[in-house]
Amino acid sequence: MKMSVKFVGFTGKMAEVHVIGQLVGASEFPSHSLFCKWGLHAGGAWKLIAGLKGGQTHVDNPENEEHAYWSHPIDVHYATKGLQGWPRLHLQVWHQDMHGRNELYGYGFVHVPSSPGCHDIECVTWKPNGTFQEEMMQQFVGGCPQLKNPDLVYAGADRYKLHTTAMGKVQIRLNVILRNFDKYGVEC
Amino acid sequence: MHSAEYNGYNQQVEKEKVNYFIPSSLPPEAASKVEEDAQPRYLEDEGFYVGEKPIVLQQNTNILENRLIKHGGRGWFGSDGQVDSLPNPVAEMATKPWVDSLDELDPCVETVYVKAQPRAVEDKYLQIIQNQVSDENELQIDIGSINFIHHSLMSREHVLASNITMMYDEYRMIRHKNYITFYTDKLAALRNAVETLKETLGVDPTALQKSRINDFTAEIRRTTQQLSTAESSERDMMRQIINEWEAIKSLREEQGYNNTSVRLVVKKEEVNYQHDLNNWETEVAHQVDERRAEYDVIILSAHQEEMRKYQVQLQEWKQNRLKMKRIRKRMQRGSKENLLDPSSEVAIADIIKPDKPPPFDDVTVKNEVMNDLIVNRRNPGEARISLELTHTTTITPTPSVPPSEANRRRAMQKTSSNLRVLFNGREVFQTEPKILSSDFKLNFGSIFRVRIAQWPESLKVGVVDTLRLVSKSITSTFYLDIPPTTVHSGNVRLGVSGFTSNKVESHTHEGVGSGTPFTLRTNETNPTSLNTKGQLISSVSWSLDANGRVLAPKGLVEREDPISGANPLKSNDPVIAIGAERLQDPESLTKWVQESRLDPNDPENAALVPFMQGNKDGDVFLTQDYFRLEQLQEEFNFITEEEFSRLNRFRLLRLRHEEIPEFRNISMLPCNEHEVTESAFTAYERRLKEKDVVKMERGVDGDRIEVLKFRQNVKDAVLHRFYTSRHHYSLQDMVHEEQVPDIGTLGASIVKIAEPRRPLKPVRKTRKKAMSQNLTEGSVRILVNVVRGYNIPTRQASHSHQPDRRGEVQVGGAMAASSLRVGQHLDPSSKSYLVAPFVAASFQDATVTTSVAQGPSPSWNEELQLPFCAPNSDYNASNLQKVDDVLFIHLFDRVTEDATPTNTEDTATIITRVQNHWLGSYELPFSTIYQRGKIDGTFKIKVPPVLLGYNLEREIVLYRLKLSLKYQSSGTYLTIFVTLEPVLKPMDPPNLTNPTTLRLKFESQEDVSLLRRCVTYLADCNKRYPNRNVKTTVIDIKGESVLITRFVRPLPPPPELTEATNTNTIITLEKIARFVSLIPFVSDNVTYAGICDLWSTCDQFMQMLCGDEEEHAILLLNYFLHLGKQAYLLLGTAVPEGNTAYVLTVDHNEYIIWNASTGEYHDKSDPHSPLQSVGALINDTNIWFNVQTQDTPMRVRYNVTRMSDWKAFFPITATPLPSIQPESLYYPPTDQSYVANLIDAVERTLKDRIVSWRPRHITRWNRSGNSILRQIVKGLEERVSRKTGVMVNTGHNEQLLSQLGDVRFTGYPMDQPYTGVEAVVSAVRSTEVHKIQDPDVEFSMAVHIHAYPASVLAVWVYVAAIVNRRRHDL
Repeated sequence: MKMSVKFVGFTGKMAEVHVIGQLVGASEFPSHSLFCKWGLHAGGAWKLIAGLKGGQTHVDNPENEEHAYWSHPIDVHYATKGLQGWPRLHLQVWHQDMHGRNELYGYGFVHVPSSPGCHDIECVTWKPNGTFQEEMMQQFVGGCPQLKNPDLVYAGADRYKLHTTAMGKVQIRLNVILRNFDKYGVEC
Repeated sequence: MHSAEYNGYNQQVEKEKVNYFIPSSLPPEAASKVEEDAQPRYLEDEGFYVGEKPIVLQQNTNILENRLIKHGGRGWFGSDGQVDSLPNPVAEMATKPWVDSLDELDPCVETVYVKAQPRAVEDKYLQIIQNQVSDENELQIDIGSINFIHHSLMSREHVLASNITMMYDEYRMIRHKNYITFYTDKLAALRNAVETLKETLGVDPTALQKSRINDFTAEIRRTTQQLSTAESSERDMMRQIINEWEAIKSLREEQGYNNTSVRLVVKKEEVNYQHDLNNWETEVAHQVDERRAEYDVIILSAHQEEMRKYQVQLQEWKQNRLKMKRIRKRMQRGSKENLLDPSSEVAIADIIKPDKPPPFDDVTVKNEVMNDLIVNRRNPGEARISLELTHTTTITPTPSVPPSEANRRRAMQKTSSNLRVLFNGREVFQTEPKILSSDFKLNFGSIFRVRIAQWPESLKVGVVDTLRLVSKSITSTFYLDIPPTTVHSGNVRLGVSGFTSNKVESHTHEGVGSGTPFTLRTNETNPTSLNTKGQLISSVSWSLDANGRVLAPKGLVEREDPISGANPLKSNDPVIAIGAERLQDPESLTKWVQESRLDPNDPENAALVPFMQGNKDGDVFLTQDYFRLEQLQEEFNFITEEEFSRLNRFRLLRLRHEEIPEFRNISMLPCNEHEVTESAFTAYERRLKEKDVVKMERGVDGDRIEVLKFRQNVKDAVLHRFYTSRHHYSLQDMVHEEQVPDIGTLGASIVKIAEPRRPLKPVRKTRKKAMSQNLTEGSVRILVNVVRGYNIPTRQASHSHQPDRRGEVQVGGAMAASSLRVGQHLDPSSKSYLVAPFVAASFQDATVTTSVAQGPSPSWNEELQLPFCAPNSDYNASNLQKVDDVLFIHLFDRVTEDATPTNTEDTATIITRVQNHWLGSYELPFSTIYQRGKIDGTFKIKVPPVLLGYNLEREIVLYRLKLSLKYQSSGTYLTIFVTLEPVLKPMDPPNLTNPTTLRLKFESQEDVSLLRRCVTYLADCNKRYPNRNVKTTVIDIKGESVLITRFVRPLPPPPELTEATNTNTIITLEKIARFVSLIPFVSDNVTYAGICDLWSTCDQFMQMLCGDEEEHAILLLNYFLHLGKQAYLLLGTAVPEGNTAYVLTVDHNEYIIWNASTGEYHDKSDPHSPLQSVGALINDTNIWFNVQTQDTPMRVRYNVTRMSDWKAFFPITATPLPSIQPESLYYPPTDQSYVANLIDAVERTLKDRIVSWRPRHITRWNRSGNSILRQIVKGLEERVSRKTGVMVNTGHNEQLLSQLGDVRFTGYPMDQPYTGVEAVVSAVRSTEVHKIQDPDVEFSMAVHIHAYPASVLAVWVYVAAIVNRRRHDL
């Protein structure tokens, strides 16, 4: 996508973005029985006009596969006044243990692709490391260090200071439909 | 094959040397590494930079080099004879800086360790993830002390002492505020002001100055009154305290010992008598003066004004009379007719000379003032008294008191109390037990911190009494308020919260006990009874952390009332907001404060003082600080905000997303901007406008506007709550799990195989319920199976003699009238085939009819199909719930008459004309069909009270034989069966698993134990008879559960209904029932789309003027109770309503069941009663569930005292709980001019409509007919409210006979509660009078609205078609 210098006037049309797709599943996590909380974050110029911009999948626990499938639908429709704050998809993968307790397994985020069409995206996830004591607790009684401020997942420039562990990947398939961007001099 | 062979080691090495090359680890010759006959060059020595090579062991380097040389790889070597290698790839410094100490960690990347948590059930747990509220929510509870105002161990003296202490506190409060000085000063200042004002303004004051003086005088008067009330109340208080002190003293003397330390000291301050007297006299003079001034202003000037008016009127009248006389003289000469203008006669009566008001009587006024002063104020010379309560009396030590008192003291020492604090119903801590001190105070002085993980809902404190360290009992429990987030431990103050205990205790010693009667004073005859009562001095606040942050959960709203505040859903509840509206809007508050001229010095107005100056420094409350997040946003925007919001397509999409009703189910949105027209929003915008200005419907006055607004507000609030909760899904909503077959079901299916086949016995199959997504336009139909009719009105007998004029009244003189009477006594057999009825069912503009049957008891047995379209083609349960269309079932009589003109030459051809005469109709709301699936039964048709040309009173021999005939209704009945095809699945009743409805259920101000009892009672009842209708708590309009008995309270009906007649006659009851039934009926299902049954109290009901069965029944019941009837609310099932509420009255073994929404009543043994089963009876004291095996109304025994027949909710008949109903209802008189306007409006609309329904014919109006009908219709309301009186048909006819001449007349009067003009129009249309095709037809119509108090209106419309026979037969 690039911005070309054109005369841009009020055309009586709004730039729209449809994001239709699904959270396919997750793989390469240390254990299964996973679910995912997701959300779409967009800038102030973006208006959600249909669909849900956040949600949570079910818990999937395949018996003989190293993969969790959610196939959780995402269907949102944005209208926008400007390009700033292109929508981002942020994820939290959670693990439900045998006692029915939930613990965090990883954070991750991806930008919604800015080119139209179908995109298969793999989002890598990570989780913060705790202190030695916390690691031990995690080993024996479960639980996980979490970010106090989860906006950091998609907003922070200070993230390099975190000590993290790489976790698995989340597969996402998104179909992006753009509309009327050319009217404003944005070539897709 | 070889045999195994062994070679020696050396031999093997030899062999391997042939095959393997093992590079040597010795350094190779330098010459072999560089170009032949060249010397190795050392670039570094020549000054080139070569970089640092990675460190490799020399031995390894040698091996590598040897191998390369062996393979002839000279190219690998550089010119220096070394292997060419890149510089060291390993970076010495890590690119990511190592943050080793946690102290340096940036706070924004801080992590927090969260334990694995169990699944959050409901939303009760704090939302850790979304709100990022850690577990650091901490409540700090400071338990100070407990003061018992009454305790079971108190002696009489203690009781008195506690009384006096309380009074003294109040007295001190009054003294502290010092109202008397304040008002005295104010009065003096005001009087001064008036004086100066009067002085400055000379002889002729302007109007402005006059009004200022008047203002001042009014203020002076008000202040004088306030002063006297303040002073008299203080004196009263002192008197009471002294009385109490006397009682204590006498008690102490009598018993001979002291138990308390209180002592009252009366201080007297001597005053100067002369000075006082002077003051007093000036005060009297002042007041008399003021009263005189007031008299001058109010009475005299008003009188003068009236006199002036009178003079003018008299003058006019005199002139008129003169004129009239002149006219009359001229008239008498000219024509015979004496045109007397009636208005001039009336005018004389109107002019009355106003009475002169009595003159101002100085002496009486002075006496009045003096009396007033003597009674209320301190008299001259009377000493100024002030009281002081001290604790200086010594308490008599235990050894020197009588044994019973000693026992009491011992018991006190053995009793210790402590507090238990429960957060959200779970105990969080207990205080140390403390022993009661002699002044009944418990000092705890301890602070507890409670960390909470749940949403704070309740904080309960229980007072636990421990006797002799063993027996513990909770004396009372009470709730502390959860503080708003602004209250933290830094700013909280100790507050007082009171508690009482209902526990009954009595002692053998001197202790007076609790809840048991005792005599307080010796000379008292009536024993008093006090419950243990006390005050807890405590505080609850949120803790602060080290940084001074309040540790309260985010999103905890400021609560204004303790029940609803915590629920975020309720924050925009208009019912609550109505009261608090002004407070939330500082602007209008400022305005109000300025307009109402509050006194800034009055201590009561202290809170408002800042608002009084609000205007000076501009708009203080409106300035706002800005913070902009995305600074460069504007520059890069495609379009501006304004343009963006102007985009229609965007707006449409957004409104659909927000589920605005008009746009909720739009599925196809235009793709392009220009395809969306502005007209798409007109309906919505109109509604928005109407929200502020409710539509000015024709004739709707202020009263109704208020009502409509209120209804709209309630509806919006409830719907909003409903839609928010609709997005919460439970597991059952998402996952449908088939039951896994177990042994039982398997066994049953095996047995089924072995069963004998009985092909002739049909098995009922339940119809499958259609899911909403499979439904499309036109796939749903309503099936109406019309089986038969009973007792249909027959045409009057006179027509049988004249077969060519069937169906019309013969109006033509005395002969016809007598034949009418004769006709009624004809034998029944000749009456057959006197009516040709058929049934027309209409729904949503579609009408289908049955074939025409014959006779008064026809049998059709026909199935009618009506198409059903859902609004917006949305077949979702929630949408269908709101369909408020009504299925009309009309009964018609088909009349054929000759249309052939009598004077034609062609006698062989006879042309007949078919006319349908409306006989009655029955309405069935769609919501009822939808909810119940099928409606099956015999229903009474609503027949107009006067049906010209038909006999309504057909004698039913079968029923007349019965004794209990008095209340037998003998109406017209239809047996019908109505269902939907396919069956639609009604919305599930709110289930308990859903967290939102669960919360709805829990919201209640009732006692927890009472609610628990309700649950067990209901469970027990449902276990025994699951199909019987019983309720214990219902949801009131605020969405809180309220015990049903609280709705019952005797309320006086409008006095107009009860006066004139004896209150005990059935006529009065009928009148009241008629009044109640005239309040429009709106089903809850329609208004509050499937949420649940909401009950409103009678005043809300009267205000809204709409409600369903329960509201009508409750109102009727309350009226009946006020008349002293023994009456119950009867919960049961009826056709067609399903679960419903009726009213049962019991009068000397006569049991009458009233349907409050229609006003009809039936004896319990009436076979046509719509009530099918009796579930429960309710009055203000108790709920009784029917546990008899029979539940049909005629078989139930109604004696509720029989335990074996009725299961009571409260085991013993306790005193009724306080009702939520108001004490009495206010019935604003209905505005007569409004009613008159409304009559005009309705009549005009109807006439226009009738003309527009007959586009191809001329519609003529018969004016003389109009006026006759108007006379008749006015008398109908009187008649209909007296149902026991036989329908007077003949008298009605005679009126017509004499005035209309020789006409054929087809007409119907009909009545209905007034809901709107459209309802009246559709009722008129259903009679099909306008379809009469006769070319000579003329129409007449009269509208009458009978106005009951409180804007309850009964609309009567009499519409008739008149054909003048004289003209016709010519």
